[in-house]
Amino acid sequence: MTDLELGDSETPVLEETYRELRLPLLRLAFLLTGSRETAEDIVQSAFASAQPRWHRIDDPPAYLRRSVVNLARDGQRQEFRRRRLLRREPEPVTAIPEIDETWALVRQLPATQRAVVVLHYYQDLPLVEIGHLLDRPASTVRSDLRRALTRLRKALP
Amino acid sequence: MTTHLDHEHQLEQRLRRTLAAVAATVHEGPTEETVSVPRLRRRRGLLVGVGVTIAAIPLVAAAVVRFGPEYVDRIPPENPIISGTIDGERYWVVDGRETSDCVGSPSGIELIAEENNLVGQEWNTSVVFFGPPTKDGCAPRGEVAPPAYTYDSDGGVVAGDGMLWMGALHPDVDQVRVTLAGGEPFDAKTFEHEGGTYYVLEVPPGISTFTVEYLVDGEVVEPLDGENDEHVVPAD
Repeated sequence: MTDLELGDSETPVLEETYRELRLPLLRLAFLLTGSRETAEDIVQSAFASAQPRWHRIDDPPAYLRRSVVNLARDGQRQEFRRRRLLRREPEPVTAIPEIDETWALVRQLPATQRAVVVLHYYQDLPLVEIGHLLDRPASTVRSDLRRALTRLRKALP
Repeated sequence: MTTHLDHEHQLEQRLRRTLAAVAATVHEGPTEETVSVPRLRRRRGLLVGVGVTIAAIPLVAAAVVRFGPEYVDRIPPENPIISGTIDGERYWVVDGRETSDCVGSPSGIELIAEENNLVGQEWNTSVVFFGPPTKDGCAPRGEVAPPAYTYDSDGGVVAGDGMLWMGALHPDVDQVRVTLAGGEPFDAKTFEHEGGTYYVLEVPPGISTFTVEYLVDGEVVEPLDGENDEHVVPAD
């Protein structure tokens, strides 16, 4: 049996996973990047990179989440320059002042601090697991989180 | 009495509420029957064999301006103002393309780096113009911002292992002084385009920091609060 045939036989599973996880992954990617278009690209790329090795992936949700987190980090350089060149105030996304105000501040956090905040408070991941995802010691992740919270506390009324 | 722990808890709850609410604004797009042809064209090859059509997502991200639904159909672009190569990567500076939101606004200049703009992909370019953007991301019309705003009208694009840095000048700024990694200062070449003055600076590979100062009649303009004349080339 060829790889292609193997791949074909796995396709329904991949399709099912895609349908099930695409939206949650899009939401995670959006929180990490602040851009819906970038989030879409990231999720596309995560599935595209998973496809050839799909039958060897033990835990697809964990694999795809790691992939999304890594791709979001890779994208920081591009986001840096876009923001640098065309500064705009973040647009309200919910029309709820408290939410929009907090979201604007979260978006301004340095990339790693923001990823820690999102993974901890949105994904409910423990710091040790976040450390594995971000390739950082848990103690460093704890410092990242503390710095992020200090920064947010100072900025919020 | 409110304690530190109460405050900590309130902040955490606020973060949870915020992230959940913002995430909930991301929805599945239209069904596959309504997917736009250009978006499929852009994604071709990515999910071949998956059998799932990619749904379009409304593009309302704040930071993404002028990265619209047009697709690269020709490289090199027509009528470049500047053509160059840095670290083996070709780039071009063209007249900023007018978008429907910005009719009548100055168009600025647009930088196209080949590595980010392959034929068939969405344009991934950067526009610079002088002054604070309007809420639609367009160049301002009418009142001119002070010279210090020049520090807010520049920016950089990574190209190969180097960087392209460009800016739009206030009309009174007559000198752009550049120092690469503490070396000898030199003046960047400027050029006129549709009534505005601009410059494009090549920061070669190996340079990690540089400064760009703007001068009026030999005097350095002080940067705005929060802006800086020192810049760091983003590391990989």
